[in-house]
Amino acid sequence: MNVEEALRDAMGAQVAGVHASPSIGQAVRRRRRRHQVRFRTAGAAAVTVAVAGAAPAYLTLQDATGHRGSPAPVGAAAPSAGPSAAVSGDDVAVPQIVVPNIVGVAVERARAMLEDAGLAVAFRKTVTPGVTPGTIVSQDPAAGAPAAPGSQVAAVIATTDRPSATPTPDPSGSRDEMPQDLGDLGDGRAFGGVHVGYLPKGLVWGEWSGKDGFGTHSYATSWVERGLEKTGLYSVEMVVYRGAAAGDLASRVKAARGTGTPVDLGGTTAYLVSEAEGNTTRAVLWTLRPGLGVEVMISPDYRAKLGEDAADAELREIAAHVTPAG
Amino acid sequence: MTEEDEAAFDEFLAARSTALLRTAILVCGASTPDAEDMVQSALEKVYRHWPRIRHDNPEAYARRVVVNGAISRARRRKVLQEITFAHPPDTPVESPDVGLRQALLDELRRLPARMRAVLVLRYWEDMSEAETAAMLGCSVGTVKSQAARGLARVRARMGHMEGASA
Repeated sequence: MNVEEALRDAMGAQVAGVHASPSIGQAVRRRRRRHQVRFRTAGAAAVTVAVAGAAPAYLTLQDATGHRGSPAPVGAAAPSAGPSAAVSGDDVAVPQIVVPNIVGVAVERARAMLEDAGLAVAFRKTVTPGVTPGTIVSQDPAAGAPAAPGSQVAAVIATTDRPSATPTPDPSGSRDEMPQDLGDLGDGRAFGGVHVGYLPKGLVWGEWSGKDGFGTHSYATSWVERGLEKTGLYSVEMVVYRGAAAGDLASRVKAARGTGTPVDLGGTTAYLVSEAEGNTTRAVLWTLRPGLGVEVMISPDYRAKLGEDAADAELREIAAHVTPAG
Repeated sequence: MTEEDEAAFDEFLAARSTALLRTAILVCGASTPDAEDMVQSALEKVYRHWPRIRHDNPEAYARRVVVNGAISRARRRKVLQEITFAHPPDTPVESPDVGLRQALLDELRRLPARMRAVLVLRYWEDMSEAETAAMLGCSVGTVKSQAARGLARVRARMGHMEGASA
C-alpha cells in the first residue's frame, strides 16, 4: 500500500462513523436569528483548564442587533436541538453529559454547576420583568438533555434594564484584545477595532454583524443598497481580522502579491483580488498594522451594477479610508 | 428568503453537511462537537447569503469557509494538541492495520495546519492541485511542496512502523 492510499484509508476510518446531526438546519437558523456574541471554549481540554484555574467568566451581552432577525423559517426549535446537543447517535465514542437544570438559579451558581458538569456556558441578558435580576430564566439545551463534554449551554439571565452599550469587562482579561465587540455598531461604521471612513453613496448598514466567522477574532459586517437591509444580501462586506485570524489574512495578502493588483495605501500595500468560485467576487485585502488585517468584498451583483472599473475604484476608496479606531 | 430557498437549503444540508463535518474533523484534528460547532458557524454564513449563492456552487463556498475556519482553529489548538498527542501509544495494538492507521493519523495531526489541510483536500476530498490552491488561497507550487513534505513525513512514519513489525 502506498502512502497516499494508506492515508486515505486512515482518514476514511477516522470519520466513517461521523454523521452530521439531522437538526443541523435548526441549529444554523437559530444562530442566524440570534447573532449573539459567543465566547466559546475550545473544547473539553480547555474546559478542564478553566475549572482547574480561576474559572474565567464567559459573560456576554445581547447587543441591540440581537433581537432582529428574519422570521423564523422553522417552528420553535426543540429544546434538545441546541448546538451542544447536536451529536448524533453514531458518535458513541463521545461520552455524554446530562445537562443540569439551571433555570431559577443565580448566575454564579449556574456557572459553577455547568463547569462542574464539564460544560461551557454563554450567558446573555434579557429584560424580564418580575424575575429577580441575575437569575437564569431559560437554558438551551434543556435540563436533562444529553450534551458532549465541553459543549456549550446558552443561558439567559434576567435583568431589569436594557443592557448598556458598553460591554461588561470580561474577568478573564481577554476583553483587552477584543476592542469594540458588537456594541458600537449603531451605524455600522466602527467595529472590530477599525473605523470605516468611506462607503459608496447609497449604501446603508446591513444591520448585522458576526464574530469569528472567518477565524478566531474576526469580525464581519456588510452594507447594502437601501431597501435590501433585511434580505441577507450584501453589496459591500468587510471582515476585520485580529489575533490568529490576522495571521491567516497576512498569508493571504502575501499570496496575493503574485496575483493581485497592488493598491498603495501610504505605508502599506493592499491587493485587489478576485475571489470565490469562478473569481466572481472582487475583494481588497491588506494588513492595517501587525495583528490587524482587513478584507473588503464587493458582491458580484453590485459590481455588475457599478461596472468593473468603478467597483475597483470604490474598493480602493474604502480601503484608503479604513483607520484603526480609538 | 423564499420557501423554495429554505427547502433548497435543507436539501443542501441533507446532501453535504456530513461531508463538511468530516472534512472539518480531518483538517483541524478536533473532536466531533468542536467540529460541529465550526461547521454550524460556517453554514450560518452560507445561510446568510443563500439566495445569492445557491445557484453558484454553494458547496465549494461552504467548504472554503469550513477549511479556513478549521485551519485557524487548529492553529489555536496547537499547544493543546502537542500535549494531547505527544505520547505515541506504547501499548500493543490489536491489529497491524489499526496500529498503522493510528500512527498515520497521529502523524497527520502533528503536521502544521495548512500542510494537513493540503493532504486532506488532495487525498480525502480528491481535489486537484489547482482546486486545492484556489481553496487555500495559495499557489499551485505551494500545494505541491506542502503535499510532498507532508507525505514524506507520513511515509517516514509508515516505514518506521513496517520496519518495526517486519
